[in-house]
Amino acid sequence: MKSIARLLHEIATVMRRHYRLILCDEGAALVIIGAVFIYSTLYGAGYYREVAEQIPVAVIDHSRTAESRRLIEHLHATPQLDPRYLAADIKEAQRFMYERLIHGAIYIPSEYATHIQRGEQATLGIYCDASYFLLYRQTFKGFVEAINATSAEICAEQRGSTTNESTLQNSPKQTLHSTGSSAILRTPQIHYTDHNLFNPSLGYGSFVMPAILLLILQQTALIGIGLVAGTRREGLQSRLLDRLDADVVTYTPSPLAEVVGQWLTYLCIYAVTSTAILAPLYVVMGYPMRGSLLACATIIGLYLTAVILLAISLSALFRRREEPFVWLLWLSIPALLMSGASLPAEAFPPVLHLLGQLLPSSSAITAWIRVESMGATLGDIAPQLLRLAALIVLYGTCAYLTRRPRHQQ
Amino acid sequence: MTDNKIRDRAEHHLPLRARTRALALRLHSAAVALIATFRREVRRAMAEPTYLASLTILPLLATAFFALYFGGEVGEKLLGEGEGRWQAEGAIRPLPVALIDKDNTSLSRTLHSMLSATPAIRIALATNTFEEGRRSLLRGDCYAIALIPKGFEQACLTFGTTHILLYNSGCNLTANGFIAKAIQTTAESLSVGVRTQSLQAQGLPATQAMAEAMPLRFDLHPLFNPRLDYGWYLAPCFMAMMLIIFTIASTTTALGSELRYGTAGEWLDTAGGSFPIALTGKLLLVTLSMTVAALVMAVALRLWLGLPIRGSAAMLASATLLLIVCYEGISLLFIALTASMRLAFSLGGGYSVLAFTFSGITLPVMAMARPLQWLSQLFPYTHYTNILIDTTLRGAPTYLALDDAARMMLFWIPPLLLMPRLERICRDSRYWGRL
Repeated sequence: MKSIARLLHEIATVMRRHYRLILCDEGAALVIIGAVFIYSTLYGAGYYREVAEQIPVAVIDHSRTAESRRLIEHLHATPQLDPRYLAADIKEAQRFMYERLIHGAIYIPSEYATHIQRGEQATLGIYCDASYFLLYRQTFKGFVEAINATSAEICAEQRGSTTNESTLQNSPKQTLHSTGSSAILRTPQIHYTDHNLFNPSLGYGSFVMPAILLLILQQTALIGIGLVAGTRREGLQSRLLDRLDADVVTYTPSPLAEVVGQWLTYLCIYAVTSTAILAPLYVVMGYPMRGSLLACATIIGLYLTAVILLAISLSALFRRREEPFVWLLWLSIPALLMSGASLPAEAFPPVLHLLGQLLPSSSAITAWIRVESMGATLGDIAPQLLRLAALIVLYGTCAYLTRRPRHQQ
Repeated sequence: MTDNKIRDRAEHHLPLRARTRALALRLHSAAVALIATFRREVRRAMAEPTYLASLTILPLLATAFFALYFGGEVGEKLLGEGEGRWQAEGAIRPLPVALIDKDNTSLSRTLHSMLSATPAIRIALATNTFEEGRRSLLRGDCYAIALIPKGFEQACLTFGTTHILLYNSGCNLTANGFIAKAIQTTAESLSVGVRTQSLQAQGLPATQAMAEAMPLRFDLHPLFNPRLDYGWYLAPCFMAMMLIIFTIASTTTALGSELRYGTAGEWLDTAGGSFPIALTGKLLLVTLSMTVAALVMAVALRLWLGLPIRGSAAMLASATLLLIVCYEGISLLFIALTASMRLAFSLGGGYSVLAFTFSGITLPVMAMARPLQWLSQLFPYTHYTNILIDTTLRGAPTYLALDDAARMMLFWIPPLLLMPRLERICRDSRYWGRL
């Protein structure tokens, strides 16, 4: 009983000391508290407008007929494309493309109208700039939509039927080569319809920001906690604490109290900052919010615990204040890539996916997106939660072990 | 200052030969000071593991990571990964999709096997209840649900209307794109096939039936990256990110540590008291290390990932050197502004990491809000990636890169303007030893 009271007292001492260390040191406070707000706001602003629309494209119209003009009108009608350039030939379109004036071009051959009038199949050429993938996807989608809409119109006209036209115009997006029904020839119709779940407009921010926000928490914690540890090693701590007439510097707590105390300190700070940033940003930016409060809190709580324990373990390696910047800053992009949130796990070697599981961010980001964006329950993400728990045990042990030798000295 | 003036005046009265000799002597002593500073810097790097790591092992580690991550044909052979990855578009292994077949007829089974044969996707779950599909989506066992409704075949036989539905998760845009395209294409070819057959059965000749079923067709040309290889698109840009992160880290360490540990006086003494020589000697090591790192990256990209260099390799090399020098200048700027190594690290770290978001590589600059479009211009990285993409994938004419290169050069103006302040900080011991 006495030992428990002593432990609690030690933990309280460690916590008090660490609050001072963080709050009295602008450097540490900037990384641990300030950076979370600065980064998430800037990233959120960067991805504020989520989709690329009205992408400039060129039309190479060798047909110059009413038929080709109809196709161009359909290009104008798509939200993705803006056919604002007329190119004389492929060469000119290529020049526009190099100058980044356009990101796509459509080639309408001279025999286009003749083919259509004869009831033959007409072939178009689509050129999409694949050096920017988001633009590629949008231009391709725009071209296909415009062609399908034109195609549907041609079919309807050729059959001379007006009965089906209205329904076609109602759903041009979902219609692939739909044909009007004819008195003489009849064909079945198979419509392809797709629904994008969880992120209906396929916004880039809604897709990438949940992962980035969680990653910001991890990276600032790893660097910030390393910075505080480096400061202590350098003996700067006493100089810092002098400012507050601290009386606790000489006191050496047990390793358990040290780890638990630090964990509680950072957990409290991050619980406040993560709530203060996630809640308003999700509301302002309109990112999908489908998770229950309990599920969200569980993920964030386990994630922060794992991250803090990892940071405490790593911080044993840093002898100087500035070292964590050099060693850990570059890891942000690899950590995002290994989580499988930007490119799916199928797109990179399984070895790296496995390696990524050592970082709390990988499991937490997967779980977070599944719960908050998709509305899964805690049961659905049990494997990720178990992995986080395993990491907590692993890094908790490491943190404890790294604090031991110092205690014995 | 006055010493120099007296010496200049004295030299002015000397005969030409003596003046030449005096100039040569001064050049010689400058060279000696430069070499001495450079050697001192090498010694410092050797003695300080973190500084050394930022110059050598960390850039290499980062390069290795991205080379491994984006695989490449060579990588796949060496790692012996699953077959078929390179047949699929985007070099992605088949993505799992759940298929709900409510019809269960020969036509729906035909569609099932057509989908199974699509390299981009694999049917991870075939079921007939939507709930099961939904659960597997939420558990992460698949990215999308394709649904064949009841009466699918019946509708096709009786000239009716039916649907192929795709419920595609928007939480991973990459997977979403590949799956949508694969299933749309399959649905389209089944639809055209069924209609053509039906028209032929009603007595229409084959070509006419085809034209009736599909009056317009198109040939797709994905320019510059025909295989839609993610490695070609992202690996060079990520490696350049690593280059700027480590340039900032090592430059800030190199100069910041002199201030922090109060060795700036010793450093200037080694350079014979000349600030330009002292700075050049210091930056020389960073520039050399980062150039070597950039060369390793280039080799990894060219040989391992097979990235083409369709434009001018000389332009790419110059731009890369310019990028390194640019970010050295920016690190100096941050030190001059803050006179503190730690603050310079915080600013430099944030500035380097944010560069990627604002470069327009993922979300295009034109899709950003207007003020953010201006902001994107304030990162040399934005201009560099334009040149990078132009010279590698696009093979654009070299003159188009000159504009971006000129803009990159402008980033040296603020550091040059603050150079007097930086010199004062380095010379004045009151600025030293800050946290």
